[in-house]
Amino acid sequence: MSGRAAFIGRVAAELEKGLIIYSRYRIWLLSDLISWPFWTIFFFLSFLMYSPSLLSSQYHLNAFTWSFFTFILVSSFMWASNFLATSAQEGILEYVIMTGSSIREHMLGRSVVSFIDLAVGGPVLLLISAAGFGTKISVAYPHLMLVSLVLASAFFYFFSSMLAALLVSLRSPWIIINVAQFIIPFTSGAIPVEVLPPEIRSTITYSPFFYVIHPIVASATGQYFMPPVLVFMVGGILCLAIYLASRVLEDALLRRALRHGKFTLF
Amino acid sequence: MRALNQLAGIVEAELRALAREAGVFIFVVFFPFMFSLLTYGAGQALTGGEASPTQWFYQLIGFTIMMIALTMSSSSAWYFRRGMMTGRLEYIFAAPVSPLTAVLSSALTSVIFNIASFIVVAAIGVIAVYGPYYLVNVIGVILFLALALLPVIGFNLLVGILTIFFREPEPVTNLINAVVSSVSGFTYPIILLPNFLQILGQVMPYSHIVNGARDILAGSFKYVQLSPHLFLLGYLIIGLIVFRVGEITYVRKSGVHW
Repeated sequence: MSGRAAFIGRVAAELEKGLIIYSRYRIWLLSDLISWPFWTIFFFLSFLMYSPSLLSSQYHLNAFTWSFFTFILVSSFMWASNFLATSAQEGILEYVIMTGSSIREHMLGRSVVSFIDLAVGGPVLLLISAAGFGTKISVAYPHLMLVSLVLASAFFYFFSSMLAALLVSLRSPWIIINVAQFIIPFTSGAIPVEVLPPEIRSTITYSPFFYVIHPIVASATGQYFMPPVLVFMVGGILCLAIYLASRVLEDALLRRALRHGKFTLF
Repeated sequence: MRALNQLAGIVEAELRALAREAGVFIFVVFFPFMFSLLTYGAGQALTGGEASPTQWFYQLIGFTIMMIALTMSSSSAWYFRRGMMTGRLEYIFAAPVSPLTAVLSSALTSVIFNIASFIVVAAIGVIAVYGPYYLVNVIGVILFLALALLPVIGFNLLVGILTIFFREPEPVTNLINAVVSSVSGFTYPIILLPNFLQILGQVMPYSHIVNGARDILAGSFKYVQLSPHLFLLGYLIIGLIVFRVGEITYVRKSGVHW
């Protein structure tokens, strides 16, 4: 079998594995579908407690709905980072390496679940916001929204691979993931830029995550903080950089595993 | 007396196990600060800098009690799940210990751990917002929580039984945690919720716990606020009954153990 065919076979096997595992836990899907409306209410009101009058502003309701949409996106991919540590702890990773597969390909099996979570959870969130809070969901620039979602999904897939390599040897990587899943989106553009004070607006542009998170909210509200071309160009470069970083870390992890017999970068 | 010795023994072992996981304690203490500061920051932005420190304190205490509620609600579920995964459960069942004693020990450990984390968070919050003079109120909250968390142990047993039937603790606890978090008024007044969710929030023990804790810390607690807690003890009784029925049913079905 040629190298290319073997690669496609391994990727297909990982995707199949991810889908089979996901389909085994149907109770998870049911649990998620019921719990998402409640978590949406919780997050909405936790933020809007400070200004309940915004509950009557359609613009802000729409903007915050897309804020929480980005949270679902980031959270779905961040939790995939936990997968590698679990694989290492359960002794699966050694067998994966023996099959000639790579860590990134192995991560794909878990990331497909992230994509499904986003594909199901995202629309459910929009529906809940419309039905529960009366939000008129709108997207000012649908074509830019599409590009934003593709860019953010690719970025966070590579980012979760990189993070997984960094956290692989921790006993409780979920602690870091749990904290990061909130800090990253809500300090990097998930909260609509136009509602922030001017001094904070310019500060958050220094976050690399801003260039992949802000476009989602901005495409919905129509309020880009910078020219869209510039935002997408920087976002694309960052996506490429994070891909390269994930490859370097994966190679380093593999080299150390072969030399020292355990999966750790430190 | 024998059951008490067993309970003390398991609690000691559980606390030793927890002591080895300092990261969890740091997370439980850090998380309410992180989240309340995040929402406070958003609140400052939304109100043009008019969000008050007492609003931040309101959410800080709310998030802390929420963490307690969530970890307690799932502690029994995870106790059984981890026991089954590691093989520890077989040894527990092989020992002459009642399953109820083992589960209650786990819940008690959870209470001790959570009250310890609450003391740290509440003390910092009280000093920051009300000043050191109000620190004495933290002692009052500890006594209050020791009583008010009893119904949560009953709730915990109900979740544990559900886990045994659904096999996986995460989907069950995820669902229950979502409902409990959103309707209990941890981080916003439940008056912002639709009526039927307000009723659900008041039927469960958590809104009474979090409001009581906040009022004690702020020095505005009234003894009449204790009255719902007597009724909420019904959760403990129901939890114990359901646990016993579940235990008998499961032992009969599986023949040997859980």
